[in-house]
Amino acid sequence: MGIREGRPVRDKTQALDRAGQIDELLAALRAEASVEVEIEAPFREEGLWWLQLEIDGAALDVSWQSVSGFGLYLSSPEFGGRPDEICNEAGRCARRLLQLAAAGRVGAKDHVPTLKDVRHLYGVSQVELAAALGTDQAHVSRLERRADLKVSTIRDYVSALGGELELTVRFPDYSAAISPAPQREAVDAA
Amino acid sequence: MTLIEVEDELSGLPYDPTTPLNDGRMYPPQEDNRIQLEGRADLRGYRTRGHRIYVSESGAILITRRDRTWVFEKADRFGTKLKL
Repeated sequence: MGIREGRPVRDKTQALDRAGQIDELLAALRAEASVEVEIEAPFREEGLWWLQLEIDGAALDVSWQSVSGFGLYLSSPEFGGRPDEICNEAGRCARRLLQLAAAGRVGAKDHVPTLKDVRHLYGVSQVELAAALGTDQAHVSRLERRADLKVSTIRDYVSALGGELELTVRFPDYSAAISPAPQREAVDAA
Repeated sequence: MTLIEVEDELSGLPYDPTTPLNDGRMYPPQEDNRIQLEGRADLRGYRTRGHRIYVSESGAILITRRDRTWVFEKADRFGTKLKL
């Protein structure tokens, strides 16, 4: 009962502005892979669009909403689950979906991106990142293969890509963003 | 409202649709998840990560998985089941 690609889209659907983001995502995916999609349109304009995708045979679910962008659902389906990843840029979302389809990680516990995955999403080479970090390409290559990294190393890596590292503690009844080290004032006072 | 009241009484968890909705209590379908259903003005359809939920004007309910396999159905007050 959804809108399958290639079928005429009803007038009401055309009235809902999807800002070309979904078309852009599908074009970027199709430039790289074989893609089948079923699109379900929201009843009201601000609601969620749903894309049931098959990328080179890998099944993936993506939502799109004007206020939040694309939501990628990667863990096992649960009733009411929120997206595992959020992306506001169609081309980057397509690259991430292609990474996941290629790695066959959908539904697996290890779907979380590696630092290397994130670097690739932003189209930055190891040489370029090394220059931003004030080191050499071999060092970047080594740290991307290391299993255990200092928090400060990850923070600097992400910062050099233009992002920000956040740490969160999560308990059954409590979750909060934490600082990995005492604040400078607290250290000085101690 | 009935579902919210029952869950308030029996789930032991607060009603909070702004947090992930897999907190252990049941929530009614959210309006952001309502989808268009071509040629079925008699139905309301809702899409979530794992399910599609259909509710008829007369109160019949059908829930299917992502792959459209059956999960749950309830006939309306006349005993009629929902047909897609």
